[in-house]
Parts: sequence; structure tokens; C-alpha cells
Amino acid sequence: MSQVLIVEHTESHAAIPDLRELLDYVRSKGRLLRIERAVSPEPDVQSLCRAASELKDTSLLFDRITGYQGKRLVVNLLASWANCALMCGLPADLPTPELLDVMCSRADGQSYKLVFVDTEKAPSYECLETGEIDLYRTLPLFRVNEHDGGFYLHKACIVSEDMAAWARHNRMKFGMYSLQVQGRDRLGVHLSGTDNLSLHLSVAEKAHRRLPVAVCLGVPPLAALVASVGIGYERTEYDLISALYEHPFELTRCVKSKLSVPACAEYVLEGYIEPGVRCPEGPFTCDGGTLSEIKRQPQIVVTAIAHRQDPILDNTYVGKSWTEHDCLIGIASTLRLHKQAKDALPEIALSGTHAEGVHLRLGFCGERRDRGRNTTGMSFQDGLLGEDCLSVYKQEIGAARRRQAQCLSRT
Amino acid sequence: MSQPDLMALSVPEQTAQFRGDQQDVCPRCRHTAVTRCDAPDGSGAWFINTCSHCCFSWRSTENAIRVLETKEGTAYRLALMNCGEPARLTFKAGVELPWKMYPNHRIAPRGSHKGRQPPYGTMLGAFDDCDNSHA
Repeated sequence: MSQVLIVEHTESHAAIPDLRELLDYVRSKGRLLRIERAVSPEPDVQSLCRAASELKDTSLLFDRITGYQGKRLVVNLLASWANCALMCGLPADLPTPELLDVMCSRADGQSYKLVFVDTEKAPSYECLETGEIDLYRTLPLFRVNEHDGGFYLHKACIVSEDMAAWARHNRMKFGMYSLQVQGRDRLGVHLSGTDNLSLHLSVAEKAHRRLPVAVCLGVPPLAALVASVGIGYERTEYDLISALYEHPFELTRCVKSKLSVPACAEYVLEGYIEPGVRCPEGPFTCDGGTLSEIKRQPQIVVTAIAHRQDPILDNTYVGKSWTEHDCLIGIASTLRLHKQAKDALPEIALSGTHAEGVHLRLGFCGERRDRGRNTTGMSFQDGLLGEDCLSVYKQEIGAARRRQAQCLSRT
Repeated sequence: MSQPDLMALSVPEQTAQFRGDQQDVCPRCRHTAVTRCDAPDGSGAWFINTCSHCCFSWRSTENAIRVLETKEGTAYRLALMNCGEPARLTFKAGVELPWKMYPNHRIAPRGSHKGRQPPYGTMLGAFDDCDNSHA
């Protein structure tokens, strides 16, 4: 058994580039539950998702949803560390700290130039609808939780750009948001006010212009991971995706705007946000099981839908831990903190996350040099990132250095 | 001269008619600006209603009224992050939930709608100030 494990650990190959390939791979490893019988969107899909969230490490693929012939739905694909490891081309039983170390080392590795594929040749644009838009017919929707105010897409990645710096490629941002389908061609977007899309929208509204956006559903798995990372405004997420894949990430151009979207996304919904328009959005069940408030939020008007042949919608179940968001946020926070801390403090050598939460732990070279003592970890909540957190690191390293100096003076 | 049809509707027909009427009214804001979309495969298995006033949407096969009328339910909430087992909270949706769900909206106080309160929860007036005329 140990030999098998050793062989598996040495079999580290490239990350899975595509959602479909990951589905096949995860299924071959027995980590995906495929539901082939016909199920109704409510309450069957909803109940099965809730039941799957009780069983850790269970992802669901629905082949036949009543009313949505030929459309498939996958839920909670990355809701386990094992599936995240498989996504990166690593063995499923890889310990979580090692998985995060690999991710951090890849993020710090070589940078690649992005590759652009012609829109006609991109898999995302195999089918294009620009006439009458009907999201209710196109997407296999279901009410994620009973008290939600509508049908939510909790894993939607939105591409937008800063209109004040339109000529700069790195001002295009790629982030994950929750969307509520509010009409045949309307999507309510849940913004916090501090995210990149809010910033881009405020710039567009000052100029009284529509903000072009592209909603990508079923993106490559590592792209979904990076979309949940706040990597800073000066960098683009596409570069980090390329670094994690260790090869150039393929993009394609939208047909209605100049935005770049992943060439292998299952769905691309092109549209715009009308300036100054706010509509009621919510409530939806949040990660902790509580309900969000109904707020007036911007609304995306969809003008074109592109999708692959026999598309697969990638959604996630939220409302009851452990969810896919926990895994994504755990890895994403570690990547963000690793980069943030490493830029500020070169002494940091190791980062890791606690498997049962999004608490983060950092080890420091400064303490490792402290007369051979073990590295002492520090725990922080995800929300404590930022300048305050870095100042704590600096104090800790300073204290370690003082202790080291005292030890040296005694000897 | 044809005679008017005075036959009473059967119970299933009455139920179907009642349900059909209810589909035209939003169960959350009681607005009638409801649009309907059929299933994409043309099977007629369900249709989706959307209120263009408060943006609430529901499928015909789910009992939308229960969305706000559920008498009792269970909510799970992590008492603290990373605390292990989730704490279990119970609530009475029709009475307590609207106050917890929508604390920043104008919710009529309990009992003020006596005699004219519809059985859809206490959401009357919550969306009166919504300007969604562009939709």
C-alpha cells in the first residue's frame, strides 16, 4: 500500500484544463455521484444537494432534469480537498498543507503570455444566441434553498473592465459573484460595494455609460478558484490562472464587447449593466445558513448567450457547511495571504490552512532560526487580512529576532 | 338558446382554477406584474413565474405560498467560525421570520393587518417604494 502511495505521490501531472475533463477524471476516481434518473428541479435537486452537503466529499452530476432536456447540472464539484487536489493534477489523498504549498509554489512560478483563440473556434462559442434571450430556457435553474427569493447562480464569474483605463489589459478583472435570475434577460448581481465590479460600475456610472460585462458559467476549475481570490487591483486574474496551470491560459473575445473570456467556459452570457438602475435582489441563504437582506442591487441585461454543445451548468449549494465555497475560500485566502505577505515580508517561507475552517497559519524563517525550536503557528481569521495583519506579522518576526539575539548573546 | 353552464366545478377543477389564479399574483408583494415562461423542452412539466415588481420568481410545481407561509422550519448557523457542530435554531416563519429576514424594510407590525391580511406572510408594503418600471 505504501508503495502505491509513493508511486501516486510522484505522479504529479498538469492541472485539469477543462470542466468536462475534470468531471470524467473525478468520476473515474469514484468521487462524483451521477444521478441518471429524471429529477424535478424542486424539490428533488434542492433536496439532493442538501443531502450531499451532509456527506462530505460528495459532488453531484444531474443528467436528466425534468423540463431541461439535454442540459446537465453539476453541483459541489470542488467541495472537498480531494477534488481540489485532483483538479491540480495531484493525488486525491495529498495532505491539505502540501496541496497548498504546491499551489503557492505554482503561483510564484513562471508567468505565461495569454493565448487568444478566435471566437469562431472557441468551444464557448459553439452555439450563439443573439436574438430572443431567455435565461429560464437556457440554464437548468433550481431554487437552491427554500427561502431564496429566486433562482441563484452562486458560482458565476463576471468579467468587467475599468473604463477609465480601457487601453490597459490588466484592468480587466475576473471575479466570482452570486447572481439571481430576475427575468428572461435579467440577472441581479449581489455586490458588496468593495469588489472590483462595484468599482468598475462606479466609474461607468460617473461617465453615464453602460458597463459591458460577461458572465462565465462552468469555467475551467482553476479559473473558478482564482475568481474567488482578491489578488489586488494591479494584477489580472488570468495571469495567475496561467501560472497555476503552468501553461498559457486560453481566452477568446466576446462578440458584443472587447472583453476576454475563458475559451472553454460552458456558458458565456454577454450583456451590460445600465447605469443608475437598482432592483430588489435577495434574499438568499448564505454560507452560515442565515438569509441575506433584500437590497437594491445593479441588474445585468443579457444581450447574447454563447454555450458549448450539450452544456453543463456548474453551480454550488450554499447554506450549510461544508460547502464548495469553504474549499475555494480556504485555498484562495491562502494564495492571497501568501502573495501579500511574501511581498511585504520576504522572511515568510510557509503558508497553510486549517482543514476545518478558513483559519490561516503562517510559519516564519525568523522563528525557524531560533536555536532549532519548532515553528510556532499563528492563527488568523480570513477577515483580518490587510495592513493590520501584516503589522502583526512584523511584530512577531521582530519578537523572534529579539529572542534569537538574546539566545545568541547568552551563548 | 344555449343554457349557461351551471354545473359546479369538481374539486380538482376548483383547485386548478385556484392555483391558476394564484400564479398571476406574486406571493411576496401581491403585485400582478407577473410574467410566465414555459419549460424549454415544451413538455409543459412546469412554468416559471417572475414578478417584475419585486423580482421574486417561482416555479409552478413548487408551492410558492409556502415560501413565506411555512409555519416551522429549521435554520442552521455556525455559532462561531470553525466551531464544529452547527447550532440548530428553530423559527416560525409566518410570525418571526419576516422580521429576521428583512430587518431594514417596512414590515407591518404583527396584527395590524388583522382581517385583511393575506395568508402569504407579512410582506405587504415591503416593496411599495421599489421603482422597477424599467423592467
